[in-house]
Amino acid sequence: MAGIATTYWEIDPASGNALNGGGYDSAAGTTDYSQTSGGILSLSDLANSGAGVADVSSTMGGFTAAMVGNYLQIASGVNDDPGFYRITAVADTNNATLDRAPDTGAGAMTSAVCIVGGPFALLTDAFLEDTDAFIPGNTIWLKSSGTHSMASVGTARDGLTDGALTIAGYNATRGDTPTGDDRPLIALGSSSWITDNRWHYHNLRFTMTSSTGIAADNYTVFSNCKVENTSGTSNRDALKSNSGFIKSCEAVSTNGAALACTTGSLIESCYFHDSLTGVEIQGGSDYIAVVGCIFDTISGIGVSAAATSMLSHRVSQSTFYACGTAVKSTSAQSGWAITNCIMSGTAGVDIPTSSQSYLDHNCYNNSGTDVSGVNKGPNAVDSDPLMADPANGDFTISAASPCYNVGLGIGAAGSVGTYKKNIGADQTTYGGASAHQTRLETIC
Amino acid sequence: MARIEKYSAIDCTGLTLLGIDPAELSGGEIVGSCFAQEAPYKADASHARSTGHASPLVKVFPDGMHDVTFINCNLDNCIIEGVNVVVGERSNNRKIRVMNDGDDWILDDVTNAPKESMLEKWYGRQGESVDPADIPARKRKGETRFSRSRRKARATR
Repeated sequence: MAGIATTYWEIDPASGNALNGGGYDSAAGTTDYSQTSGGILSLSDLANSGAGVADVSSTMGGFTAAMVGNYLQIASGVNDDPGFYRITAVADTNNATLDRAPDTGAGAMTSAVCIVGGPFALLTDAFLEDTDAFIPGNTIWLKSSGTHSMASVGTARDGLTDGALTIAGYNATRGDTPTGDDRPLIALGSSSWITDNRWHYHNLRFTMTSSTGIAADNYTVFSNCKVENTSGTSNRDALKSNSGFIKSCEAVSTNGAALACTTGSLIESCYFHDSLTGVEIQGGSDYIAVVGCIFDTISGIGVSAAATSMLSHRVSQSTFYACGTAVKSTSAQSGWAITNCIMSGTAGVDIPTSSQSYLDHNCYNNSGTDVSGVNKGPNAVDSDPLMADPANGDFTISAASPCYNVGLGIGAAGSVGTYKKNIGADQTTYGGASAHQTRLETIC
Repeated sequence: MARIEKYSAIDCTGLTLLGIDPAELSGGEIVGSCFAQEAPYKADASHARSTGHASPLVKVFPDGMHDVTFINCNLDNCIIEGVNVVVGERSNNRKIRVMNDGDDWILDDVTNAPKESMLEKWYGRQGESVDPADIPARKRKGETRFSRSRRKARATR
């Protein structure tokens, strides 16, 4: 197998080429040429001495010790097995060793055309499915140098518990964690992006109009991603996640759910807006946690649970603004804990009495019906939360807000200091708070 | 052939360029852009046994555009006329429509009848039918087929 878990792959629409080597073993301790435009070495006479031999030679030459750990891609030749090969040793300028023999087994490979290093231009299904190259633990780096125009991605490959399949965007330098439009854009058009278990997506933007924008199976992580489904057709969702962890993401679905999720999904510090539904808990799902999120201009329901949804959903530390209803469920089975939420310019919570839910420390302001089927709790706040400028996207509160420091906090037993939380997504301390408070307020 | 930078590597999903001077779009390569048009829904022709399937293609590019090579572009539901070509392993120029199951289907180029679900890989894994003959005669309401298959998958894990 060519692949090694510590491999980075590079995709750069501006300077990449489908024939480049594209990868580098980040643990090799040599020089990473995967970002070198055009690659570092092109050969047309790569050969080995016989079937099954991993040592290769080239009269053209140009191998250096610094290339160890880099991948070369063999595109064509005689008796060659096209694909990606990692350089494991370099003897001299004309001789190197690959991670495995590059021939078909029919005889010595000759006249093989290959490139060492250099980024790819495109993210392709074929590469995502290439189990010799892209393996669990690998990261594909996408540079924000142009739109990645995609037409349907569908792969049944899984990551591993100790090694996800990762796609991470960057702007100028790997790991620079771009925001806004500096994140690479993957334009799906009317297509969908479907992957199986344990994929991680970081720092990406996706646009689409398809019935299901992104469908991610178990234990998938999305962080700092924006997913936008602008379809004019009803019931279209931007992101579907099964037991996933969605953090610090932005999602929009004009005529559907920004996020549809199933059992065990954790949704933290996300921004859902301009959608029919913010988070849709699908039928049969247990244990959904929505923490520290903002729901802004959701024409239907902020957090919606299907009639057949199951037990134990949690919504906390979130802000609902200009929604139809903040939280609504028609399932008598779904027990809820809803705490520390601001509901402003929206109807509040509508869940069946039989759901045995717990609500308290929430703020209700100009909300139509505050609660239906449940009680507010003794510590509800019924006044304007004094958010800075919610109509223009500023949902912060000041120390003068009635939501400041009155959220459900940590019990006093065994602790030293003051442990309180604000109501709403904003947990700014506005000075005077202890270090303990600042730290603990981030733990929900 | 020169690359037409202005229209390369951009996201024009759902937009048309009919008002653009065709000279701007002619005689070059457009690389890596998405011009896909949203799959439409038409209630009277949205299951496999419908007759008279309509084409979902939309005119996106202006009359007079010529000698353009689209490389690795998403041109789903776009009309590509005249002496313009589409190349590259990442290029697509399919016909796609929303059918009564609420999903997007790739249509037969000639008859415009549904032939392949856009979610075929997903449904295939879940053991759900991807046979266009199983598209319901009436539009599905409420939960999508996708969410039902999710529930089924969860129950069997």
